[in-house]
Amino acid sequence: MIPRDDIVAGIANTPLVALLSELEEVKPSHKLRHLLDFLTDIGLLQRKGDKYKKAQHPPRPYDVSPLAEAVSDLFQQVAFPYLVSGRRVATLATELQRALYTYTTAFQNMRVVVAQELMRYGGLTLVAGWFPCGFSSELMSIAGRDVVIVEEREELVALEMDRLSLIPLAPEPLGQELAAASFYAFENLPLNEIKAAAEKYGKFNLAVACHRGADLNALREVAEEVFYIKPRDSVVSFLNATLLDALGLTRPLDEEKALKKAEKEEVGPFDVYILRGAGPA
Amino acid sequence: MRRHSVAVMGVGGVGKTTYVFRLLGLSLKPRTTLRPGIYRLYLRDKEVDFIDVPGQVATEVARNFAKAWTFYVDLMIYMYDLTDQSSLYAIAELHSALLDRGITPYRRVVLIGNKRDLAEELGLFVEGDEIANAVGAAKIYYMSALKDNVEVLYKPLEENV
Repeated sequence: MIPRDDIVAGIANTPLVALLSELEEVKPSHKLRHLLDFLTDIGLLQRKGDKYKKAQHPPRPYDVSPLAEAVSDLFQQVAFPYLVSGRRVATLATELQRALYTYTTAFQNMRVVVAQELMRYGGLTLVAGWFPCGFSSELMSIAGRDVVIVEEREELVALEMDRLSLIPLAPEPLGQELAAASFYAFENLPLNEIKAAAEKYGKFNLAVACHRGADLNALREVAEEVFYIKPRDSVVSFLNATLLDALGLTRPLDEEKALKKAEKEEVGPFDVYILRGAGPA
Repeated sequence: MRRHSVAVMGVGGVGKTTYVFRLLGLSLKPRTTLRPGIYRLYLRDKEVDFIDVPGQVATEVARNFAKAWTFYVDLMIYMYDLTDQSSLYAIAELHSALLDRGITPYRRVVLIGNKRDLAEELGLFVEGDEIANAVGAAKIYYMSALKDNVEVLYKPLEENV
């Protein structure tokens, strides 16, 4: 369901990990512990008290896939500088845009299964934060949805906008809700201003937030149904959250209270929380 | 990384979305595709945007997509059901509808005869040579999108993209 090996291979193939693998032992400052704990989780280091050592059996390198290459770029140029110095990425070079875009492929199979197994056909759907999960065209093709995608940084979705332009569009014949046509729109908005999208497009039938800090109460006001998705895998969670922070995007907030009344489904290594009966009638 | 686009067309039920799902590594029985979908695949150093076009009946597809088709793909895959002759003839209809617009909306075209497992079981195997010639298909691939190994399913892409 998630190509975890590619993600691990991407991180293992960075200069940082190459450097660490040459050191017998490291005793980091408190600031660096998150980073080294993360590398320990992956199996690249082992922890001994307050020190970290090379792992005896680190994951073996293998042919590097495009996803692994993208993860390498993102880890080296986005996650690592943020974890070490708190530096955020101000402008996204084309190479990083492409890497972020490729990273969303890691969630493609989850998107397909969620759209196919859990969503009803038809209706207007709000994607509250495109990155990291990349919900988009499968909502249209599999679940027959019209889609409005909200993202906080416009350049993040530039490649997705370009890609969606490949889809043939046709006006939807009157009275034929599920005609072979699609409607999609992109909005550049902070996630805490999601109500502005409802003012423009009207109430939504469904809102999808995947590992993003959308205000679930606000989503419940603008949509009949809310899907909130989060990965259970700690490595994927940490990488997602770090990328979100480094890019200045809203990371998941403390959503436990809002999810108490939600139905929960498991899709591979993801939890899908479904809030129904919310929002407009 | 070079980007490529591939579209798969054919009437409803021939197995287009099953084929796409298997390429993604999913063994799901798909719902009927009613709207176009686009999926992303990586073939070594190539990024492939794979467009899954809704099927239903041939005239409907032809009507909708001859009007709406405004782009150019690197590879067009026409797919038919090896146990259903009408799904093969529908390819000619789809092809004519696209060409009637006065353009060839693809760089290369191949034909896939799907459901080989079922055809072998039933002893009913509709050969696609004549239609392949008519539409200018470079090659015909016979396969079972449901049961064949994914290496077999990737061949049309690997050999033509």
